[in-house]
Amino acid sequence: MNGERRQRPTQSNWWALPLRAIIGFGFLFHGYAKLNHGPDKFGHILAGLHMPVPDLLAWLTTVTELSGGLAILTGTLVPLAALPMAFVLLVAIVTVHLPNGFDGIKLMGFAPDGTLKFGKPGFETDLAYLAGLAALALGGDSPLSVDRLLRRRIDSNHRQN
Amino acid sequence: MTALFNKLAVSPLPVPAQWYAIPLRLIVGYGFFAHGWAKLARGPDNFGGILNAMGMPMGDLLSWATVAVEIVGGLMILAGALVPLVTVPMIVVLLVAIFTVHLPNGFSSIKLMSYDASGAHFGQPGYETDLLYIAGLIALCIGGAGPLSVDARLRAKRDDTVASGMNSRPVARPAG
Repeated sequence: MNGERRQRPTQSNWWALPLRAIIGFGFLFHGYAKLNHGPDKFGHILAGLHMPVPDLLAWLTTVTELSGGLAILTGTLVPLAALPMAFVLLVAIVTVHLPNGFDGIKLMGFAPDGTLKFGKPGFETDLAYLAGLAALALGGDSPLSVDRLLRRRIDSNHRQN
Repeated sequence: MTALFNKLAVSPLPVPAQWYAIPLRLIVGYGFFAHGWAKLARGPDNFGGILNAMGMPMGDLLSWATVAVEIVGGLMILAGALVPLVTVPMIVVLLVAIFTVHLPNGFSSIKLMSYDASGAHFGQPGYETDLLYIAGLIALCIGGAGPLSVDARLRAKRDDTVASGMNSRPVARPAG
């Protein structure tokens, strides 16, 4: 059924590895940090943002970040894992970052105590994660990934049939 | 159902794989351009003053060089032009930002600390965003700039020249 795929087993796609490393680690890091602070704390922040069912959302976000991060690191079902991860990013953009504009890092100058002063972060970092997830979903199974093993198995099953 | 799962849940999605580069070029190119433009709009003296106060050498020159790399590099990534070449100064800018500014703040760029009547409060940003840009640039260098790019046109032209035997010293030259 899929002649185009059979032409393609030589694709190496090493480009995906730095993206998988930073996106996977980044999501794991944020999920682990929320777990570490106690998910109640993030739930309180969500309640302050007037989000509905904040405690449930806090848990769902933590679970998505931890399991999604692992899936990306291991390259497992990347297009599927990317969906809830993209949803978390979109919610963060709309509820928190949108009023702050694009810039994720706003170096404003110095605070009175001599430390650098930054403005509130915009949605740049979220967009960078979204773009990386889209690239991974579109661009293919990469080396050292579960998806590559799965794709090989699917392709060889096709050939046998 | 299994066929659908195999098609849509396991990467890659059934689209031309080179389109992977488009979202990366959009965010990396626009992101650099936006930061360069913001520095230019505030007057590069402003950023130079910050660099001088941080104890960087030649703050004013560095400020102009940063603005130029961000604007020119951003536009070239958007156009997919000479990507491996422009990546070098862009990564230098990111590494300098990591080591002079963000490293003491740890990894996370977005530290949502609390939310009260005055809005959300954030901690000092770490180097997460810089790493994302570095990973995006490296991906584009290795995987190619994709469709709608100057590099794709240059490469097609070079391959034509090689194929028609007009170039006497062809083949396997490193990407320019």
